[in-house]
Amino acid sequence: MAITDNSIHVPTSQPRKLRKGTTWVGRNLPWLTLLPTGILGAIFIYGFIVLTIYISMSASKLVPDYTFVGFEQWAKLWGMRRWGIAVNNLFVFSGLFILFATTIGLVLAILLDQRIRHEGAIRTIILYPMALSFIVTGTAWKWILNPGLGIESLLHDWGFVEAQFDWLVRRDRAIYTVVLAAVWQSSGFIMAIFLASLRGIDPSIMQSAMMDGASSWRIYRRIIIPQLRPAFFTAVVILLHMAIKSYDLVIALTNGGPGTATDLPSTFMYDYAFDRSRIAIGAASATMMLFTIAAIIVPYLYSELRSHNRSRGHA
Amino acid sequence: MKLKRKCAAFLAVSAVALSSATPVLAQGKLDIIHWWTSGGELAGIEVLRENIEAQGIEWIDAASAGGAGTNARTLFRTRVQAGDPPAVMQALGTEVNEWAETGILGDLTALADEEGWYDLVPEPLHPFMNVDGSTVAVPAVWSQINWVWGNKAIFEEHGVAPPQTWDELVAAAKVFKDAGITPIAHGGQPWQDTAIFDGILVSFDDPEFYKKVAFEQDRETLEGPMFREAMERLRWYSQQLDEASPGREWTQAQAMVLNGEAAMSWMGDWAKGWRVAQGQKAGEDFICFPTPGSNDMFVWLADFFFFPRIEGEADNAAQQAFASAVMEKQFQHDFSLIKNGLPVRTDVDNAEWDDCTRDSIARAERANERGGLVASLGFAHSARSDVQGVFRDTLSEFVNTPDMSVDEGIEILIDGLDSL
Repeated sequence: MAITDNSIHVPTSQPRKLRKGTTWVGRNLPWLTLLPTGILGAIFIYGFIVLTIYISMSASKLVPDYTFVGFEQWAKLWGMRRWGIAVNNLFVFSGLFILFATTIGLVLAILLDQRIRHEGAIRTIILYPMALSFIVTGTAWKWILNPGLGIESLLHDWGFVEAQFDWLVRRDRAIYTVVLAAVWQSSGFIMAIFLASLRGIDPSIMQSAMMDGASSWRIYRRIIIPQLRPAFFTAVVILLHMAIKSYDLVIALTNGGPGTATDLPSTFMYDYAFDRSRIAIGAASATMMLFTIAAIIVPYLYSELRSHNRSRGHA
Repeated sequence: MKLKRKCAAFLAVSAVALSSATPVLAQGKLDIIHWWTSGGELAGIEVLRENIEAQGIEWIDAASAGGAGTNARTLFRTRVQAGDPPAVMQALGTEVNEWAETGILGDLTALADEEGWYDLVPEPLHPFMNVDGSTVAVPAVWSQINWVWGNKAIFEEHGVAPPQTWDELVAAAKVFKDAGITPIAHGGQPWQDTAIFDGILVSFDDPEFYKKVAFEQDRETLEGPMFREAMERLRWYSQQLDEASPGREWTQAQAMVLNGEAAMSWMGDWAKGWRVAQGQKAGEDFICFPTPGSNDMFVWLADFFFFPRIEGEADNAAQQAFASAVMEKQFQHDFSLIKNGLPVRTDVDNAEWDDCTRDSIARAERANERGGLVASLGFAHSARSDVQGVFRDTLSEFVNTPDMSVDEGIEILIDGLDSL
């Protein structure tokens, strides 16, 4: 009822504001405030999306050339072996990244939620990697995973001469090292999301379930985790867009190598647009990335928001 | 009203600022984008800067380090798009031609004729200076790519002489391997995987073969026995490396040879510049020899400066002064010494050079007589960057995929070239 109280107070205590509200400016103030953002967004987000899509259908090479060539560049792109590798890597990387980051984040959150001692310190330590930039993470893991410098060489020095951990330099394994570094960086953040959500659950639900004799595994599986649905939604959307646009981590960790083994659409796009002077191919790959995000996120967003609205309607 | 007065005051101040800046502008200014930001390269460009500033021209340095020029290129492209190109831009090989074709470059033909550039500069460089009859760029320095740098102590200790042929190389590598030394230190980045392939292509000592592959991408040659053999040699090369090579910087690979972890490394003559900067001496601490089989072949890359068309007479004069200063005999002498490259003029005094550079210049002359002075494929001189990119992707994948067969590699390469 607080809201109603406020709206009664406004006219009496601040009469000048009311008069202002009757002018055109006052009445349209919310729209006017949003207008600069709206204009900037329209130009710099949607305007440039349209421009990029157009360039992907043009004959641009070194500099933009607006001759329309239809879907020629798209066809070329999908005929490229390296693009195939990049797309494949994107699916492997984002799938494993989301799976592991969410699982590890959830497990850590549940463990931390057991009211343990020094929770604050532990939470900070787990969350800390998030404070690093991906460039730092990538460089650090590059050293750790380098067979001549890091874990493998350490194990050799300790006398385990047979030990082998050379994923970073193996064509067929390198993409998993990218997953490893990304999961290490992001799990703590996902944990924070789940932990906040867990703390919002009424403890009495848990207590009454316990009194009914349910095991804690069962309580989590049947009662707690289903209530974390909004947190899962947040986590997946955040992780998915991080996965699709990840660029700096790959650049720092493997620079797309060995060879082209850890290329992602984003590194492919940068290489073609800026290094090889093929702007149209670069734009075509950027367009594909946009479509990929849209194809996954839009239906997910739609279904989540609809069910959210529905549940609110029932309440 | 207060606001208005403040505005007026601000305008007055900025007008004063502008007018006081004008005298400097009147003498011409040069903003130059380049990526020579460390070691001998930086020292070299400082020589040029002193020369330019002594002429009363303002030098605005827009150096952009990193990515072997990628960052500088991005900066340049952005400024061209914004209608504000710099006065001078550094470029490698066919980049000059690609930008010349967009029609944004100024013309230096009058100056080139006056100073007789085309009589001074070796002929293979001409196609990059002169595009469709108009002189658009000057070469600053050029480099031999088909070099091998060896650790002298290791070679002597194992009684190995610098290999002259591919078979001798294979034998030498075996000696090193058996002694527990990595035969070849390699930086496994795509550009390096491609650069060493230049050395393999000339190891057949056959200018015609090189041209068919690097310049024409002739399908018959690519499917033929000699190119197969070239891929076999690349496969052999990839087996001589240590397992940590992928992703390594070229300087780290050089350091491995210097520290005695590896016997040799393949790299252009800038690797000598790096050694000299580490206090090493040619012939005493390290040995240099051309990639086996290529004693009469010379694969090169060259750094150019080109000049976008800009407004302002004084600034145009400054561009001409810059081009002239780059071509100057004394500068060519000093710069090639400092940067450890080769001078682009053929009439520069060679008294102060070390044996490696003298050897390199003699090789360039020998090669030129038989058509073996050839532009690099690995650095996009013999072909445009999209063609070079296909080679780079394929060769790098091939080097890093031990179980990829030669046939598969060739097939991927030809498919890639066909898809362009």
